[in-house]
Amino acid sequence: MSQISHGHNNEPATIPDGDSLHAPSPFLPFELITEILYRVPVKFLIQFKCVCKSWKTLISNPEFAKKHFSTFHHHHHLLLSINDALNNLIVKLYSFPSIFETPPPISTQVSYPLNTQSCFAFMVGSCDGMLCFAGSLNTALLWNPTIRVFKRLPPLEKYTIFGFGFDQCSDSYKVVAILCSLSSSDGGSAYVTEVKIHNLGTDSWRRIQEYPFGIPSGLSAKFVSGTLNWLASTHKLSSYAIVSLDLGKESCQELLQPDYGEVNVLSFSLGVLKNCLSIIVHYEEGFSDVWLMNDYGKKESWTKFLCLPFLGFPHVLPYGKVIYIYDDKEVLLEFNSELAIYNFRNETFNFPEVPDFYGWPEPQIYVESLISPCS
Amino acid sequence: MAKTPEPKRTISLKPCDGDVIEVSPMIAKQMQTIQSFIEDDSFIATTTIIPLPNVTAFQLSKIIDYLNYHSNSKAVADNVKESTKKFDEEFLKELEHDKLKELLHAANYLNVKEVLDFLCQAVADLIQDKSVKFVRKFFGVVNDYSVEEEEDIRRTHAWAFEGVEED
Repeated sequence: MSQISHGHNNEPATIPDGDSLHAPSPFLPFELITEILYRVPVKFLIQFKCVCKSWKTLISNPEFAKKHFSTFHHHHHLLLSINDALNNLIVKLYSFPSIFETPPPISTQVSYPLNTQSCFAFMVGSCDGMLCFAGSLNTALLWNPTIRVFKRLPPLEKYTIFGFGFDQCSDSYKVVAILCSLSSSDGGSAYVTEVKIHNLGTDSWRRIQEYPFGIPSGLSAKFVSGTLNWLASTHKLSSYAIVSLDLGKESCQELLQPDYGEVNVLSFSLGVLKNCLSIIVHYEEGFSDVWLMNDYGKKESWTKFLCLPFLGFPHVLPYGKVIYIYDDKEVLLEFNSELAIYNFRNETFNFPEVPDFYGWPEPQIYVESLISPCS
Repeated sequence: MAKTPEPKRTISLKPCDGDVIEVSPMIAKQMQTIQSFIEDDSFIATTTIIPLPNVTAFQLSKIIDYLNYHSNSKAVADNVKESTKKFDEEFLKELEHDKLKELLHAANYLNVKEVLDFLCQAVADLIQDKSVKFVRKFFGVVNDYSVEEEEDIRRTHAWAFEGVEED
């Protein structure tokens, strides 16, 4: 410890010493090296496991992965899962600045880990760098394509709709399965559901309370603020409820929707924009509105974010999902089954060159991480 | 906080190899090590010079430059991004590898979060597409793997090394 004299004061005060500063070539303490590595992209961290044993131990530690995820300056990617010419499933990642700013967009791709087993799979969701896929035979798979680690979850016995997200209360990633089956009792037949939650820690499914709203529509749930959200059809025709499953409480509730006003709604779809739950509402009149729930769970926080203009085709739905908001002036959306960028400041459209977009399956927003489904 | 009014005058910092440098309380406040020194009851703002035996005049003035620029540029909202980027680039241009590491040390010693974050990011940007050999040399890390052990890691993660040129 070095001492610092206090001018006229006789009491010395101390400031902790910065060790090894005067070494001929400066060596950085391990804490500083760790701080630096929190800011290095995942692919290079995998390479840097070769530097020495203590770096490998550090980079492999799940706690490091978490801190890296919260510190690293993330770039968002558009993630599309597509089938190549050999019918293999691949995921393709497009970096967002390149979609909006520098055509043609830059992409990288990774093959789905179970391609050799010729099984059908589609994407359920993306959370903290991990993807959840639903495969054939009612199985789910968690996969981090950046570190190329995957885990198959125990299979389920019935047709299943999955959802995937992170629960802060238990500090764990959870996959929710809604098992659906047709029951023919009391002279009629109706769909019945059973809800199960998989916990990565125990690697087992556990039954929770019923899904109270029939069958979720749409195959993937939207993960927002610790909840999974589906649209579900209600008893009234052409009317949908937003059903929210809280991953911490493990219970469902209905979310109140915005007041759409005096319009004829054709259809809805849910999305996540700016970390908020969003709903895009398509009207018979040929235009669509995008609403954001700024404060999750509060009806009064719904605000109309954007009105997508009527382009001359009544009763035709030109707009599909709204995928991403960029730089507070542009949105990436599905338009006539293609990708389009709508600049809502000057109300212009343009079409990025993303040849792999078919509108199906659901495009996802992806950020890379070191978080492993196996830890 | 309300009971101890901030000293109006500047704070005097004495680097190990130069004259006293005066900084405003606002700048000093961002240096946690100095701040806890000032908050010490025995500190007399008007007369005390704070010696910094682990920080050179060059390092101290770089850190003060950074804090000055960034605290001023926060006040103006528009068109700041571009000029800030330019300032940051110029700031780093003057630093060779050893100087950069020394500055990181000094920022760590003074515990200036903003500068620490910036310099950690700068080093991360510098090393991220470099070879494992470069990284070892940069940090002075000794390779404690056997040839076989290192080969094994490279084989297991072969995809991460695609397109990487070893020097």
